[in-house]
Amino acid sequence: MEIIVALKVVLDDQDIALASDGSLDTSRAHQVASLYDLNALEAAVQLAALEEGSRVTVLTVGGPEIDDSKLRKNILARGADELIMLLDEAARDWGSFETARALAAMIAKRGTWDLVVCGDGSADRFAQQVDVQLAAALDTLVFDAVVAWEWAGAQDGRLSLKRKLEDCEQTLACTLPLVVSVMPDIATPRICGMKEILAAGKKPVSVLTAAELALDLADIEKSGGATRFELIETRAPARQKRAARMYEAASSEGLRVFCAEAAALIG
Amino acid sequence: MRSLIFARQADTAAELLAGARLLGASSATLVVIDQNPSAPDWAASLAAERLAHLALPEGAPLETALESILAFAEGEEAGLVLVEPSRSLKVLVGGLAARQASSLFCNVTHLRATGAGSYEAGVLYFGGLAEQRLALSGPVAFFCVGAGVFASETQEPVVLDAEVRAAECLELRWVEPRAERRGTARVVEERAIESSGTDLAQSEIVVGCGRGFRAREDLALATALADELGAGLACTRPLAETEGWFTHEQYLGVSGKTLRPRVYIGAGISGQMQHLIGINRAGAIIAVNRDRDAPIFAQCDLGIVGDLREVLPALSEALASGATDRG
Repeated sequence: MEIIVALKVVLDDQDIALASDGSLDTSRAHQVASLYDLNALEAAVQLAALEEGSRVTVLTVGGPEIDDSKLRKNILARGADELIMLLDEAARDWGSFETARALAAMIAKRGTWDLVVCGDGSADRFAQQVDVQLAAALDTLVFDAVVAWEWAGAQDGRLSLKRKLEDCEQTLACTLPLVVSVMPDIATPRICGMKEILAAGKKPVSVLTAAELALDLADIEKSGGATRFELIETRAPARQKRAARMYEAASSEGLRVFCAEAAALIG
Repeated sequence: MRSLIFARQADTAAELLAGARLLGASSATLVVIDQNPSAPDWAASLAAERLAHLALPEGAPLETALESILAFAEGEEAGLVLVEPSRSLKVLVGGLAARQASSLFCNVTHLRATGAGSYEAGVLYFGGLAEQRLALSGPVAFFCVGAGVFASETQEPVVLDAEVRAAECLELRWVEPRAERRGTARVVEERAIESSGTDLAQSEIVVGCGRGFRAREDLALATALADELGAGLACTRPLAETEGWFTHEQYLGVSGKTLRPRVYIGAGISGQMQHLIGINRAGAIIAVNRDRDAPIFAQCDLGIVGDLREVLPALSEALASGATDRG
């Protein structure tokens, strides 16, 4: 089984500082794999282990700054066989439409595939739309909210998906190829040991540009012109100032006063 | 400008229909897709000029309905498409957007028209750490808008004259996914998730539970407090999705619900931004946590450092005796 994992590289939000005027200081923030995409990668690697000869290829798209050796190793040490990156200045500001077009071109260039696995949503915008756009570009069905799956084996080519929707748990009997996005509970990302990290350094990584993919950016932007968008600003929302009156339950007086004040607030 | 609304429930449909007018839509078409043979009764009573319904055949996932709605949706020539944030509808309408070389904008915090076919939208960035303001334009725009975004505007309820309101429902015909479209899927089992029974959006007081609840039995303490107050019971994402102690409709935050109760009591909640975004517009926030460095304490009105197994029963008791005194 040829499994593709679409992984986004984002700023580590732990290191994004908020300035007093509400603007964001990202100068200390490293580039990391978006959190839920690691669950997708782990799930893909576990699925690949069920079918001999399977391969897991990770694709990522972004500005040139997302590439560093630590990030490469972090991805490849988690059991992926190969990493393909599209690095392009223009890609930094791409939305899901443009990103999916690029991913589809990367998949087409790579060859055959059976399953694309995406995470539940990216840490930054969490629009949950790259999987949907990618399925449209690949002309494939897509299902999200997958919490578990069962593989019936290559002869059958059947994948059973268990999904958790708002009001029901649903089981689907599917045939491949398919695009899916998985919920974080599907698999817990592994902790990598030194052995895996060292082995990761020997795995193949290819870096592509939009030009090499024959991806006509002007064309993408033009066809994406049905809804053009521009970023006006990124700003922390004004926080409502709250009193933050604090008590300690360790003192019985503290607990008593807290309860009295809580009762007053509740009215 | 015509608009197209996709919704599954009466309250969200009504809010999106009103929102479409606010954004300058001259007419609205409501599309409802479900497994029933005809449109639900609530749909006919809403302020839409047109109403369309698609009955899914047995075993067909809603996500495979693209071909069935495509001709109708494109024929509407809508300039604005609004969808409620349900998993399946986001996939279906996202696919419709892709067919029109566009994309669906999600996690919208505010939305206003700035001209014909142009909008300014706020979208969440890093789970509410910040907000991005986007300027959008084009012949058609797709937005996924959650409860409360349009309701925050002061507006009169939309009432349509009987002669313009949808007099009848157009039944859409099911069309099998095209053969070239790869992959197949059939629903083989569907188990309804039991509803919690309370409408959190209507709850004046909400008690929220977080990771501080180590054992399921301890939830009884939160339930007792909620019962005492007539409050709604809610939770953070892990308690609904990882532990499965709560239903999806009870989970607050990014990709969950956003509420504005008069009082929010957060018990065992550390205060990750991803959760706080769901409650930070509450009138008052009361926080209980063992960890004095929990971020929620920086954003509460009243907080106590302590074990929720000690604090919650004490609070329930104090409120009960207060109620007796007043009574």
